Amino acid sequence: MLKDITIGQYIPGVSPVHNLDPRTKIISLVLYMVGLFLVNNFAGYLFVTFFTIGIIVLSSISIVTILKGFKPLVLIISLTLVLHVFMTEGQIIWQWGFLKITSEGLRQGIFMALRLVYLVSITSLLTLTTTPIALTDGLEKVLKAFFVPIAHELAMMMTIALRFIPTLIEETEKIMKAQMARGADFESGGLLSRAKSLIPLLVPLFLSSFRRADELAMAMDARCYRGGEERTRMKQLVMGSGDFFAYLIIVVFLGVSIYSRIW
Amino acid sequence: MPIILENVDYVYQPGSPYEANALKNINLVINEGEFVGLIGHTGSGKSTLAQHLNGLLKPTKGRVIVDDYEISAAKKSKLKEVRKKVGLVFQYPEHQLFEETIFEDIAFGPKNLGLLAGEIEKRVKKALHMVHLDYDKYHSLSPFTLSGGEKRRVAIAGVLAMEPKYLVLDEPTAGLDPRGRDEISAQIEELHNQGITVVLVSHSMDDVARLTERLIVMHQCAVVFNDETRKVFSHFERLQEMGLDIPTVTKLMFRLKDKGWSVRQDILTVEEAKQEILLALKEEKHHA
Repeated sequence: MLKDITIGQYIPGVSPVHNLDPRTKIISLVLYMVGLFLVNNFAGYLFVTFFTIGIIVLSSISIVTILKGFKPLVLIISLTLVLHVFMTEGQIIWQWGFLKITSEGLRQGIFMALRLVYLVSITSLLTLTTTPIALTDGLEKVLKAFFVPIAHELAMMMTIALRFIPTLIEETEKIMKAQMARGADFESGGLLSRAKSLIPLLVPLFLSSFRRADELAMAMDARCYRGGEERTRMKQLVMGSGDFFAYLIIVVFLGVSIYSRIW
Repeated sequence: MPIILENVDYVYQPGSPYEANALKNINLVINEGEFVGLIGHTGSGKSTLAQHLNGLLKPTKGRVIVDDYEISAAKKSKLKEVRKKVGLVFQYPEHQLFEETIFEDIAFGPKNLGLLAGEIEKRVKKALHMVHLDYDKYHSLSPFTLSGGEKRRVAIAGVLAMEPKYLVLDEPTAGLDPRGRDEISAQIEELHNQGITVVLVSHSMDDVARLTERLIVMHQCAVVFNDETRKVFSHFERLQEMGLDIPTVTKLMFRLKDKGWSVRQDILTVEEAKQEILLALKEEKHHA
């Protein structure tokens, strides 16, 4: 159950997408999102679909891995679809009692659901092809370039959070087992009794998280961590010709999206 | 009735890139009333094995039989019944404490068994008594105000309150000061004398030598030795190859033998060693 969590997972590889500079990937992702939310007609969506599939193929990440990331989002995506399909006013094409489907609603629903699907696919592609360290390094540089004041601290917080996800999952499993050995039951009963059964899990989990945070802070202090001021790096990020091509491609993508909108 | 493991295999995360064998063809019997030690290098599979004994993990292949209950991948078993019979104390059990008072925390297990208030109170009293903590003094305190050793004893009491027939302890003395270690060891010995079957997973050769009757040695997910403790520790070289050791006294006897003393090497306690050395000295005088 807990093993299904794939947030922040990195899959090693040597694809053109893996080899890009993390800054390129972050900036491209933002531009991709802009493009994705600009398109609003059939031709535009067709273009975005092919573009997205192309990037996924290029990354040599298996489609199954990406689909796995959708598991927790199935509800929100289907809710988007259903709400749009049934709630939009317009030309009615099907009606049963108070339920009615309009052609505008159908169109809007499918478009919105597709947007979410593409958004999640490409965002998870970013974490799947970038090591957490490279990702936070890139993020720090990008934030600094936009004059965000505490860029280093934000990036550091993200690194630590990502680093502790597997540890926390492991810890949760361990405490769960320990309480199950004392006859605790996490899997049956109504909503209320299930929520109550989480107390023996959450209290020890919070305690151990605080303990870990304390220890980590102490260990960082002991090694003279002073934040980001005048910090240098062993591995400097360098852009290559691949990054140049990536920018070219994403600018063309954005151009086509804008064109499809005003055309 | 015993706990029986038949051809047990366990595979971690089968089908994923992280697939790994954790247990390979384990066949074991743990009889009622025994005190069994389980040793092995880190990652040898001993904690995984311990979790099979009360159904927290189900074997990928083979089966585990606890009294009348069978646990296997295919079968849906009454795990609650199994956990009632087999108590499992994890490493650092004090990390699972969560209630506001020690009473409530120890009562967690019995409550899950659906016992009545009177019976629960009786069991909490008994469990606290078993770990040598005074009920009147401790029952209304918060478990988080205690010292490390006391916390661990409360956590062990939490498992004892389920009144298990078998008790599996995963490194119960890890991270304690010498006094806390001695106290816990003594209490485990006492529990065994009261008729509880004990399986002790440990890294301390001295502890298992002093306490256990039979020793199971695991290496690379398989059982290598399963014999009387004394006999197992005679395989000094094999154990060292596996990254394990023998008790300090036993090592002393091996060294003495190397130096030309005529002493036995299957010695496990300081008392036995003393006798043996005195005997050797006497003989030497005799010859001289």
